[in-house]
Amino acid sequence: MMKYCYTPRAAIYIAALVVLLFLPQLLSPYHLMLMESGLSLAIMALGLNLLLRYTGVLSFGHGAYFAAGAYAVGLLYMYLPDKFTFENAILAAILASAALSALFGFVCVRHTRIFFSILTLALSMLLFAVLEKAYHYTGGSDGIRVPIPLFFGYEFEGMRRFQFLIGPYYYVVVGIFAAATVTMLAIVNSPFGKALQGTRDNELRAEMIGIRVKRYRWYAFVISGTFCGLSGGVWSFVNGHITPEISNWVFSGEIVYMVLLGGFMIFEGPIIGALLFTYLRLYAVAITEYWMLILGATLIFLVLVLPGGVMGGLHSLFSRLKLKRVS
Amino acid sequence: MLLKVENLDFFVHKTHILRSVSINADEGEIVGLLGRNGAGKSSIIKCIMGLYTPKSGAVRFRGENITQKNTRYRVLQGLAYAPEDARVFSEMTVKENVLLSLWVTEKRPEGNPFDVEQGFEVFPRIKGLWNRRGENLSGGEKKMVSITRALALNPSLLLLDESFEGLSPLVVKAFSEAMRRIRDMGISIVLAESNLGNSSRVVDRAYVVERGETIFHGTPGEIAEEESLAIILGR
Repeated sequence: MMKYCYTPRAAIYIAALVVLLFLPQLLSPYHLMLMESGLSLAIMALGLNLLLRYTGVLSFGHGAYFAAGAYAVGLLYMYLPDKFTFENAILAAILASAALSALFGFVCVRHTRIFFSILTLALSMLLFAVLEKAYHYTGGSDGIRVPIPLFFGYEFEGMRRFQFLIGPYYYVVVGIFAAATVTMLAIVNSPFGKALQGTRDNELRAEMIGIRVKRYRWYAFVISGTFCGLSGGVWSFVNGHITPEISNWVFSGEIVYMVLLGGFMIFEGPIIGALLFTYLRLYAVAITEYWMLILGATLIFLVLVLPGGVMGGLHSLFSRLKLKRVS
Repeated sequence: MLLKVENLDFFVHKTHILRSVSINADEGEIVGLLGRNGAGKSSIIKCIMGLYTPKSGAVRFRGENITQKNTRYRVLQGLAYAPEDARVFSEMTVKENVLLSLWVTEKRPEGNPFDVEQGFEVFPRIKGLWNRRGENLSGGEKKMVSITRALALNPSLLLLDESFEGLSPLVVKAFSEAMRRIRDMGISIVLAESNLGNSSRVVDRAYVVERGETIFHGTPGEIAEEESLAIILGR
């Protein structure tokens, strides 16, 4: 697997990781918690981009798998409080999202283009309806509180929530984010990732060289959904409370927005997009009650002026500067 | 008999595209399908590969009726196809394009496994392009990659659609030599081509296709002597 983790930007990755590890010394607790939220959402954006960039299908329902992960954590606390440890919660998040994405994906991957997108959206709204209406089981629109869990038997006794978040949990989030990024890098560089790109470029051609197109697309869907579930599980502790809104199509649209904002053509784009989105939404909300207008205007700007997103724009700028220097 | 196509009829909506087409190819043979653009050559190849479903007739490969089998099954039985437009995966390197099928196909047709060096023997130029991305290849180079990728599937029959189309005379010569090398490796070829001059360099025998029917069958010499075919094959 290690040979597939190679990237020419490895030095930048290591530098970024070092910066992330030193952020608690540089940022205020408030911004550190925002960063935590951004990093957990970045795992989800990476997952969605496996479908969008590498498989060539756009999902408008990935909020469902994020919700599956988050609710697995919440329901574990609600129904099995004795088993509520961080490791069990994350395992439950991964298993629940993998199972749900395997089921929904089985239906969706039989179609491509708009039909795929509409199916993903419809199925996510199905989950939203269940989470919202099954009040006695899921807490309905009130949602579920997620407390601080035990960590491999260790209890953070007497520690207040924000102390937990800006202290040990920040490093846990950075660790999971780094592991998820390296895993996704290995996936897209592996023969499996190349086969996905083959199915994206030309389904027929891929079939003619022996690739099982629908099966590979389904595998990608499950991996993508599982990344979202992991993200949901990690995020649920940051937020401390989960509600059905995270399975709503509006949230699924926000995931797509993050990926487009950062730039889906570049591997790191979705990570940057998720971090930028976290701050952009916060400042937009702080400036005006019509904050959705700011997000909408940004999206229009992106599509018209920066179709490659922030990272795509930077990439073409550096390429142009390089060309200028050579000539 | 390696490939036997019997009385194939194929329709697109109500248009009758192929009319009772019968062709065959033996082990170690290069068989041509000659005809004008739109005559039905590509449709025959696509029916053989399972990309088009014929209304009636049969496609037999090594005696097995594969008419209702999907494309992947046919590939695993030893059929490979290099289409007219090459369709190289543009974001992948030549190496990734060629080796992708080896990486992802768990079952392979029987016989000696594909050796990259064999691919280099067929198209020596591929070696120098090994790490170049598909999008940076010329038309001729894309065709070379497309054929080498098909060879990586370890086929016993290679279907080539208009492989000489748009190539310079020098490259046509290189392609002709490559086809002979492929045959020497024990792989049969069915070559769809509109130019008799190019195909006569390599084919052992050929079928002339016109308006979805096979109207003549013979060696390149016999086809060249047949006056009635002059208008079709443009001599």
